[in-house]
Amino acid sequence: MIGSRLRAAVGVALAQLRHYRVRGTLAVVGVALAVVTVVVLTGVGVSALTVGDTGVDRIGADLWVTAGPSSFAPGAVGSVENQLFDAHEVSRDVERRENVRGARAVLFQTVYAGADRGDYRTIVGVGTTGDGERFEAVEGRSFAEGDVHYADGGYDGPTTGEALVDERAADRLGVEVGDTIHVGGTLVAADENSFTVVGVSNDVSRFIGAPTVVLHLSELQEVSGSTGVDPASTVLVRTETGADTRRVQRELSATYPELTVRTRSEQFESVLRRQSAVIASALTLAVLAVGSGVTLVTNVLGLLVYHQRRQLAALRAGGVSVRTLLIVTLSEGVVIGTVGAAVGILVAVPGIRGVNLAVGALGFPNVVDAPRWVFVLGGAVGLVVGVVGAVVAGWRTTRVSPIEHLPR
Amino acid sequence: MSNVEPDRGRVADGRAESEAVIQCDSVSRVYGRSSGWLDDGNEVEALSEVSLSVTPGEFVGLTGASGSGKTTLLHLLAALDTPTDGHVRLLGSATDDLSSGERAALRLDHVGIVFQRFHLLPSLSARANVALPLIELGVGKRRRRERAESLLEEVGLGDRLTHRPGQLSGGEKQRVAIARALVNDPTLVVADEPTGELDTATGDTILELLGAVADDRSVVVASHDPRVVEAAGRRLVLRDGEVTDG
Repeated sequence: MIGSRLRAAVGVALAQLRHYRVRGTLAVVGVALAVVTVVVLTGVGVSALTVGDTGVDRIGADLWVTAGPSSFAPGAVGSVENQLFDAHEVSRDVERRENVRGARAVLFQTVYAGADRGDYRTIVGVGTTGDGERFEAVEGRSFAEGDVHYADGGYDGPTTGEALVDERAADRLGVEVGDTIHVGGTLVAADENSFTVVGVSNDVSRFIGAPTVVLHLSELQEVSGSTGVDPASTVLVRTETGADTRRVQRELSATYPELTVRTRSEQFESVLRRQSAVIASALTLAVLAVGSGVTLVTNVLGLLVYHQRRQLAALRAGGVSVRTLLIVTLSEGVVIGTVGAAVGILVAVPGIRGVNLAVGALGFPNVVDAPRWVFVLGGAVGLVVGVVGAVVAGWRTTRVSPIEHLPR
Repeated sequence: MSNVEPDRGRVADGRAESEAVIQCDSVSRVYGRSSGWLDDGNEVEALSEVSLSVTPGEFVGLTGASGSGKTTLLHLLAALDTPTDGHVRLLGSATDDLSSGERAALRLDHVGIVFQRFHLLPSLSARANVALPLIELGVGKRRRRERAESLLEEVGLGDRLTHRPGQLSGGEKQRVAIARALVNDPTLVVADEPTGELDTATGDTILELLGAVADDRSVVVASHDPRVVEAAGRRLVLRDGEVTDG
């Protein structure tokens, strides 16, 4: 009996939505927009967290030494005001310490780069001490030797002229392994300094989130005119296997009180804090989208209840219960939510591709990363939006009174 | 006070009070009556000490000027509302003793209501509109369909089963509304100005239909239309909230 009543009420709901197509479509569009917004913005949040998390992991450092609490983060290139100085000496001194397996200074610096003189793009230049052994080349090789041009601070050692680019930089500059590229901190410096692309590696760009060209640190400092202070954005430290990383952190902090030493997890938290504005904005927009969807569904169904108040009052006069009328309204909400969720998910798939293509063209690829669970979340949000809207509209149904709404 | 003919059915037909479909005893209905210690002084007495009974098979015409209390009395008779004083017994149950839900159940089982403006859901076919109250009774789809089709055949709309209200004339809509009022096989049918929106010829058809309905159930029709009163077997006139014999 209950099943029969439920089926019949759902049938009435479907007939109502078929009859009031424009209103129904409007409500479905509202839900779909909420779903698309939730999916895309959650994807942005997931991407931000994933880049920070896997990026910090990919760098492979146990400790991060920087000049300030927010010296850099993915996407925030340079951070000139928080650079540490005498980077080669600092990294060499750290590397000599007990329980430290290796240390390398890394500088992030915006540079002009191009395959031809005069045709430059702005990308991220990454300078590093060491021989580049940690860079995994997907094509070609990593650096053949260390940062020999530094020559104990004289900057008069031989220049290797080697460069690693990531796939996006290679694509953007139109170069491949073996090609020559011009790199400089200024257009004039770029005209005067050429490098050979020895390999393609995506390791650093995954952390930075932008196209990169990796040079030896001293050579990047040379082409950007900063050899006088030997700057770096960070010194990455790897500890010996089994070493007490916290103890090394404390020792380094004591030796370099002006610098900040973070563990891997602390660095990730730092990255996360830098992304908090993006995540908070995305969350706010998602909440607003859901609120708008609920409002629209409530409005559409509420107007339908108001429009049909006399018919509903007549049905109540005939003994039809509020519960049955509520089932009809809730069923309308469920149908609107389900269809809206399906449409939203269908639109979100190409929408995400479009956003990634558009933002990727600006040098920030895969800004939206939406795994399957994000779509499931979007679908659930659509259903909830429909049901919540229907519950609010259903409350109006319970207020329909045969005495008040039928003419006397 | 004014039950000039307090119990015509019983007097005329000699039926016992317990046989009455409806029994009203000194029924009054006052709107705006304060239930607390504040009295806003805006009370309107729509009905005053009305007593009457309606027996099975009676066709009662209720007439009176606008504002005389016809609709209020119909609401009380159909258990849509309860009196502020006195008692209405519908099939032996005092409606003021029943909760809102119990009165709704009583209406669902025993009362059919026809409105001046039909109040059909525009999104549903004639057949679906007629079958709607049966959903509440938990009747299965096939039986709902059969019952609705049978009633629409009876009111002459066998060829309009799938038409929506927007595709029907005023008279056809009212016939659908009458079929809907009969779908639960009620003991009592009340109709409020059922010909008010219709032209003369169509109104006559509706009156014939209501007359036929009254063959095996009680019918109370409130109307300004003198034809309604002529068609009814018994006439009651409401004047300033009081019933007088027509």
